[in-house]
Amino acid sequence: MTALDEWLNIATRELSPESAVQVRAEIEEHYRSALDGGATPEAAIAALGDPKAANQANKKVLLTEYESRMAPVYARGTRPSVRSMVSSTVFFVAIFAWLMTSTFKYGTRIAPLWIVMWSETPLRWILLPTTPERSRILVYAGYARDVIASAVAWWTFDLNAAVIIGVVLFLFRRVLDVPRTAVLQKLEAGQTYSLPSREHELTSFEASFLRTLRNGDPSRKYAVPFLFVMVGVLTAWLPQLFGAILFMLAIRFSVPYVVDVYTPERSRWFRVAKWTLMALAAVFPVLLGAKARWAPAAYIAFLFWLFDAKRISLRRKLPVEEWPKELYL
Amino acid sequence: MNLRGTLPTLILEALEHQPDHGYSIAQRIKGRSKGVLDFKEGTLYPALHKLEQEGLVESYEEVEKGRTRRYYRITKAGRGALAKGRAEWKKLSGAVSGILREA
Repeated sequence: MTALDEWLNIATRELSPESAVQVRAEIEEHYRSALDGGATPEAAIAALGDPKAANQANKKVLLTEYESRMAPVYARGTRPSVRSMVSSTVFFVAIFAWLMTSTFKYGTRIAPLWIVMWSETPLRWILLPTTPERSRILVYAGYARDVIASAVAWWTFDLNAAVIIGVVLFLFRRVLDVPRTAVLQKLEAGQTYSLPSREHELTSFEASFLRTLRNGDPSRKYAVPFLFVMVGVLTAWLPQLFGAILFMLAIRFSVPYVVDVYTPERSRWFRVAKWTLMALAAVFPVLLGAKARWAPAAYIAFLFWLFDAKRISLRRKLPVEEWPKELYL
Repeated sequence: MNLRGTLPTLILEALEHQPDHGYSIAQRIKGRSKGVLDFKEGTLYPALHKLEQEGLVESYEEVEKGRTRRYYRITKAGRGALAKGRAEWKKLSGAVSGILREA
């Protein structure tokens, strides 16, 4: 590998394939011009400077690999289906009604916050963020909503709640919403991307989830131990309710290390076994007649939504050849 | 000397009278500053891309002696930005000169 190749490998790190090709062509031409001008190869490389600095600058103006995967989702411009909007509204009203009428201690205090949190959803249905300007408007509207949510939290609870909610919402906005504007700006400037097969059919959550499955999101190495610790503590406190869940999680995360489940057929059997264990873990406390026997079922439903629902959708949309290993599980 | 904030204006200045390709732009900036403004050329192209995204320059390809080169030329909006950049620099350098004279 030449010194120029080394420089370019660093300068094009995490860029999309199209962006990397563009940078390589520019810098190689620049390097050749420098040699034509009488510079030595070492001087020409030195004149280019720090490749990490060039990489940071490139990532600001060119599509990164992650952005190129999200780009078709951002640029798609299709409204949610009527069914999706209706079910979202029904879900909001149902939760609001439950908060207002249930015996849950904080129900009526959380209800105004719930309204504020949901208020952004209809705006997104009306103003599709398919251009940088619209995306920016939604980001600012989102920040305004976050400030109002913090104020409502301060009013209904206390300053601590307001700060926590404000920080969490701000971080979500920075991670999920703000990058969209940058991607749309790059697309408007003429940046291009290409994706294999049916990835353009993925929703933004699916695309983001697929990326973590493929690239190994760093937070996952903490998420699984944290999950075990959490369920372990719950099992120690309420063994009748959570013991079966702990057992199910142990099987779920240990089997792939012992058995090769990475073929479509074996993967199917693994998932059938996994879901059977999940169902048994939900039913077991009911059979034992334990108190709050609904809790494990609710927890398992949450785990299913968090880990499995998106995988089911991804398996349906992507051909088997493009499945990352995690999608077999 | 740190060039970060002024590099876009210097690029527009270099392109004011004629289109040019990246290497030549870099040499022109360094040459006209008599070597004082010695920036790292790897950051030139991201700056050019940003100017292109903002509509201040546009690019095209030309084949020269069997090699494809990307050339950049300033746009009308770029000329406006250059004039604004010059005025701001004049104001800034006047203010700094005033302070240094007084010191």
